[in-house]
Amino acid sequence: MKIDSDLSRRHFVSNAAKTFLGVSALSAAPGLMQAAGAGASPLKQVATAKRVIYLYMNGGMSHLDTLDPKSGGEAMGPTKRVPSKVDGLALSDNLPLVSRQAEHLAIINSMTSTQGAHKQGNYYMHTSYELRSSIRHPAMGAWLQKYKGRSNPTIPGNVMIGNDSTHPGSGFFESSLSPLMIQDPEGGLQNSVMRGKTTQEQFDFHRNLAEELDKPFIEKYDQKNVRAYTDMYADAIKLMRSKDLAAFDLDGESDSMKTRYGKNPFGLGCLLARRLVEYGVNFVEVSMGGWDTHNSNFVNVPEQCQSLDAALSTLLIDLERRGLLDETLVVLATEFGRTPEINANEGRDHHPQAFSCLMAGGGVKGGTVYGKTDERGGKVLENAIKVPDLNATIGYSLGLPLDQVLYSPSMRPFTLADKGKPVVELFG
Amino acid sequence: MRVLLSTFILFLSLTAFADKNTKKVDPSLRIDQLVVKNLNASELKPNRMTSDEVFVRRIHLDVIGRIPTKAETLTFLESKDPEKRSKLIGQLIGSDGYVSHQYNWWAELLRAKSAIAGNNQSTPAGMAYEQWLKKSIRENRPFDEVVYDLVTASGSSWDNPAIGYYLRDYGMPLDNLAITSQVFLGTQIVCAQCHDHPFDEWTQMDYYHLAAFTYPQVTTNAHPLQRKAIELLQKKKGKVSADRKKILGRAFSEILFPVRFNNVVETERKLRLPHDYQYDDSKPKAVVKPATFMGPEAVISDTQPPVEAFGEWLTSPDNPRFTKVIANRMWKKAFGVGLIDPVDDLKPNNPVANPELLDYLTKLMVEVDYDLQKFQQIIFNTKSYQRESSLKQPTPGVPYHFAGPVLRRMTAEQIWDSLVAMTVDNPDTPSKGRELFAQKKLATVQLIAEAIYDQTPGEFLRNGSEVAEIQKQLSEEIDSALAKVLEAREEGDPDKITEAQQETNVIRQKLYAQVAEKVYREELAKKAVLVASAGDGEEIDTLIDDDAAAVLEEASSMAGSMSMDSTTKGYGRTDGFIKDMIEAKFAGETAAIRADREAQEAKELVEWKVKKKDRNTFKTFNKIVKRRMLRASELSQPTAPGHFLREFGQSDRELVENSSDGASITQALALLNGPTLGAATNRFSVLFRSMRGETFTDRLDTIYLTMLSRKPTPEELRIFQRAWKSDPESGTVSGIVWTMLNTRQFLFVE
Repeated sequence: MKIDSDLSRRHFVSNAAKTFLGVSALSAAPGLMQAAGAGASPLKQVATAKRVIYLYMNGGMSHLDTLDPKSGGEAMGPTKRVPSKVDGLALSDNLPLVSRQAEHLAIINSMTSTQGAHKQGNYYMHTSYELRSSIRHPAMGAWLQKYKGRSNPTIPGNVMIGNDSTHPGSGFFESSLSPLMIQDPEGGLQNSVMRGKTTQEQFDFHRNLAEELDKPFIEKYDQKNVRAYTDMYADAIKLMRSKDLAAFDLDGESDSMKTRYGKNPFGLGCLLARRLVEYGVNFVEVSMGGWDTHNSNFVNVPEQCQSLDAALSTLLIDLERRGLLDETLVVLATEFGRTPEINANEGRDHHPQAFSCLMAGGGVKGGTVYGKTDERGGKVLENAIKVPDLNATIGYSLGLPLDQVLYSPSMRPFTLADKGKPVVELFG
Repeated sequence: MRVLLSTFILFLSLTAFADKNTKKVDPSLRIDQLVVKNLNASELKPNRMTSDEVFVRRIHLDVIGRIPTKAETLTFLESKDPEKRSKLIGQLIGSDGYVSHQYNWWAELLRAKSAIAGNNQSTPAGMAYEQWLKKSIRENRPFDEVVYDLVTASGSSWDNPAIGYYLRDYGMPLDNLAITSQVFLGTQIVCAQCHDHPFDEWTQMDYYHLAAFTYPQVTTNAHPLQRKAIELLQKKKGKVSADRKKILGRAFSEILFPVRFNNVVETERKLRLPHDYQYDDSKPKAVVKPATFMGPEAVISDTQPPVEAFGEWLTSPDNPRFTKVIANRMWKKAFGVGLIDPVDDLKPNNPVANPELLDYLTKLMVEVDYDLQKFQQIIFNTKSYQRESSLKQPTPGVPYHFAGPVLRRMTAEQIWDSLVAMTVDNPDTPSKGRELFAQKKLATVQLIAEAIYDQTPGEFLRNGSEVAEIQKQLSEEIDSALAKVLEAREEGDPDKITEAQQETNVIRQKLYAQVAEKVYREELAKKAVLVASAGDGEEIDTLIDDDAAAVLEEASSMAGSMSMDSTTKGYGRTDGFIKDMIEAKFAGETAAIRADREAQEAKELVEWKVKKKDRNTFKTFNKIVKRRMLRASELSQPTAPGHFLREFGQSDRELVENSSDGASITQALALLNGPTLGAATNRFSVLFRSMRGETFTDRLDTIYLTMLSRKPTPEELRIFQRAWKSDPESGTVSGIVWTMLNTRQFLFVE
């Protein structure tokens, strides 16, 4: 009998849900399974991307000075709009290198958020839900792993590069789905090499000793939590000795490659992200701070853009050259835009009403500009995209079930993009 | 007043309890009877009693949060006193280690964070809250009283650090209430924030009725002076333009900036139903009156703020869940699983493993008057607690009948604190440095508040106008600095760009300095004059003492010198004379801590017989190791992601009880290759000093006694001998410590 691929996927998900939640949890809430988020999206979707590199601009990236510049007007200050080779697609003069990749880019100029504070906005962007003290929602990397597992069982499937202690991580899902945090891309994976002068012989000698000494304890307490630690050591040592550990090591990259990405934390973070996806990590987030330009916007944004421009353009070229761009969705996101008004400190303030994001690769139709703001970049005029819609679009490209409801341990129902609808027009 | 009164009542009731005790059966025995009865009913048998070795390790970990030292273990093992277990329990409960460990429990429950409102600026209030909790634990204040203080808190953080309870959910009063219900009533009502609870009996209306009690407690950074100053201006000038209001508003915010996240105000704010309220019992946006949803109704009077009625209802012994929840939590703390589990979701149909026992414990909690030390002491003295752990893990949803405690992985804090105990002497002593740091931070905001809050609206308006003027001037300077940056960019000269950028930073620092000069210094100087001219017995409420006043006077005589020169980098809003005043005020304490440390080092240099060639190691040990190897309760709350504690599941303090004891690869990597081991195997660690001059077998004993609270078995000794024979080159002493650290025996609490 031929099983419809869609059905089998749903079957998988429902099995998965049973495993995650316990059958009783599901049967306790009949009807609710379909209720929340039902009809929010076309269920049938074929994945166009296998993995995501999510570049997060922390602090609120000024849309007017990057992806949504206007031709003149008081709101622009000294920033200029420069047309690209694609008709109708123009970026600011701060992103000349990214502009050359116009045929790969889908620029979304109609983002709108309800959250005007950083922490709340950042959380909303990452989870599609508003920040609450009583629950933590999972971020996209956790949802992806929850539904699709890992491609490479030796290394974690979800990695976050940069320093963000407020990242929602795996939310109410098990902590093993949390991103592995890498603070410093050059430092690689913490504690993955043997200490100081320890030799391989010494390491093995003491390791074997530990296993032998522990035998009676392990036999006495034949329990899941004890076994988990036995497995953990096996996995860790497998990783230490695995060739895949090289995924975290930028020494494997040439100096000229590092220079092209930019020898700064964000540039090297993007380079590391490319290495990680090559090794089968399916979700990598790279964050870049410094976008909260209340002061000296026209000094700070160009400077931020120097790093962004080099890193993003090189990332796209590099992924394409390696044949990875088609199946890797690159997303550039931020919590909100910045005001058309220029304040007394030559800065721009928070502006959630309208802002911009970017997508490339992963089946997205390049050379696209979606949505439009008014002549000052203050209001969205057409095709408004709410924050959950953007996440639904990412989920859509990954072929994830947008209306599948999963329950938190407190039995509250959630979907991966809340009530967001994917922007299917972005796909070719 | 309430504190004094209840301490007195507590004293009375404790004496009464002790009297009754002579006639009544001992509560520990009673608990044991109920456990055995319940086991028998299910045809189960209790586990065997623990050996002294297992007991001494477990009781230290459970009461003071770390493994016992070798000396502590030997003292206990060698004692022939038949009462030695109960004596040890009595000795540990209430000690410094107990405070540290019990604080971790509270911090996880209350999601305590150093940056309490999520913003770094909220650190003074966050650290004050932390110190307040530790003090309450040290003084063993009754649980119901502490909870009452938390939920009724209002005021400024320096007057009432308990406001941390509300600041923690800054701007989220409805969520705060949901958490109060979850934490103290074991009742999850959060679903009812948006709709009637789908799996429980609570309606959205119940939720709003309850929230109406705490809704008037407002977390805010605004100050009434802002409004009053504008009103005054309107009175004087007639209509004030929107532009002018905006300009003044910005100036007021600049003045108030350093004292943000320090206030909870009790208001008369009314809670309204949401705009999409969908049920028939009321209309959307209708005002909701406070009302309780279980047990005897709260008594609301006109003379008392509603939150106090709420606090009394919540913490009353008549509340059907409050006492049961804390009794059950304390049981779980000792046994690893609650009589009802999860402990924060007491639905009517959730199974109770031993209802009679839970009832008894609930009554007992009232009898000991919510004295958590006494209550825990009773539990630790039961045979039930002192039995061996069960060999099987309980299945979630299936009642566990407590044949003994369950086998637990140490919490992140227990692992870390155990490593601390292997490394430094006096591992339980709280950090005086951290306490002083907290005091200074809080005093800084308090001092600035003193300079602002006592102003008349007229003064505040005048100050605001001056700051607005400064802001205006600086914006012109910024313009010209900016032009330079753009010019430098055109030229493409990186040095010139950096230089021009620094110039713009300096302008901001100028603003901070000038606000400090114009507003804070002048206002504080006025106050200092008041203090100086105060008559005998006249008390002026101020932080300014003689030392601080002297600094202020000097700053005043050099008025204008604060305007920054361009070399000052990173000048913040509370630097300059404010910092100097605070340092002067706490000069004594600061010097005492330094002197203590120096005396300690000098003593160690002699006692530890530090050789010349080891001086550098000694210095590193004192500078780095000792300062980083502090108890988890004395580090940043929580530690940063990537810290050893976080790898092992320390709660991120975002959700209630959000710690985890799950295994992860990064934990194994941290234990196998991480820097933490280096501290415990430093030649000056407690462990390594205690092994000096010992033979190999003695050293094995020391390592085993330190890390597992027992001597190695003959079979284990044979394993070591065999290993050394087969590979005499590889084994080292620090290698053995590493080996033991990487066993499950070490990580688990038997």
